Amino acid sequence: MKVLSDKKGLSPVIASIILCSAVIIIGVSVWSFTYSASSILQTDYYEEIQADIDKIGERFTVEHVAYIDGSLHVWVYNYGNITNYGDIDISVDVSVWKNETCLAYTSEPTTVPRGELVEITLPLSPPPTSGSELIVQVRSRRENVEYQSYVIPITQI
Amino acid sequence: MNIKVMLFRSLRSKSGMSTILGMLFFVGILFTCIIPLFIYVNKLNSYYYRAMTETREFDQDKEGERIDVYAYPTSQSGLLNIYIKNKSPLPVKIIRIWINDNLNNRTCKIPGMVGHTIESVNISDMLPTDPGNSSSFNIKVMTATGNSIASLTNTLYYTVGGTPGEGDWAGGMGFTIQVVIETPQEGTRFFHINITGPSEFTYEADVVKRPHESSCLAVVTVTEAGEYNIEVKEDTDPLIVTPNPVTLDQNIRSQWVYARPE
Repeated sequence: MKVLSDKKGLSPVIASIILCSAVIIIGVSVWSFTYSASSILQTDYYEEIQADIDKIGERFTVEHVAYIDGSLHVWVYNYGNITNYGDIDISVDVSVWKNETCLAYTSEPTTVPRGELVEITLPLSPPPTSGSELIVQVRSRRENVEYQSYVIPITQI
Repeated sequence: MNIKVMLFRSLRSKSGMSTILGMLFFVGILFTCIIPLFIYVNKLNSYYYRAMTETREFDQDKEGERIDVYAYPTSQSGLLNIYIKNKSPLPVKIIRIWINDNLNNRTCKIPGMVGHTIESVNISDMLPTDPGNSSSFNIKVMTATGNSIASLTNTLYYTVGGTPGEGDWAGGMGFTIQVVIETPQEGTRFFHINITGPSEFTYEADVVKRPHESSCLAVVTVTEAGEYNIEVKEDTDPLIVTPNPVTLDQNIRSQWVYARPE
């Protein structure tokens, strides 16, 4: 009973507990902040690297162009993503130019799956004159660009 | 006695406790956050460099692709054979054939330094039918690496003859005689071609038909216009050559010749 009723030396113990608790709370807070910050940094860096890999691994070509019945048919072949690290599909916008004037363009991006050939049709109105040279520009969402020139055949007009 | 007092004092003293706890947290953060982050970043960097190296190797392989394409009509109407000679040591994968604006999904893998014939590409739907009408054909092949290679015999012209289903082919490589050797016999066959022409022109060559092929092609560039005699032999047995002799001039700069066993 005497021991319990003796309050001598209690304050230093409480002070120590409070001090330790404060250190633990601050320590845990700093640790959790650092942990979440490093996790966010890791995720951001991974996404950045992945986007770079997707961009450098992206390969596509304008395989063929044909002017049939007033429309320009453009075949785009996605032969890229040859590494096992990249994304697999690409999205492209196609535009047709003549003397720095845009004659037609796709309103929505077209998805070209990996290893696939996709035909994109662009109606040309008014129809270009025979023998005129058109420039087909294919721009991917990752800002890679491919060009192909095409001369309207005389027999097609 | 003094040591005992000093030890007792230091155990009772709480002044260093926070420093120790702080240090423990610092070490904890170092081991659970900073070092894993450092390792992760290094791993991602090596992942990026690996992808870049693979992409560069792919581009080099693509640039190194060297193939010659010869499209030639067979004596059977409406069929084309496409001979592809891979001139690079790397294998080439052909994935498509374009004939004008029509695509033909024919795939084959050609090992390095080897020739291969893609046989019987049907173009009968594209041939004109009215006598006297003609059509032109441009052929190109696509490789899996995105290279597009046009046939060296472009442009081929077909003119419908008097008899239905028959016509004449023209075009090809200028001032040339293109000899197509067709044989139903299987296995590897060796043929000898001998062409004689004006100004004592003589050409001799051996041609090999491989086991998986039903025909083979020899493109002979001649020096000038005139009449040329073509002789094709298998060992000592002569083959029937049609037409023979052939006459080249400024209007007909190349001629397709077909040789087959008797």
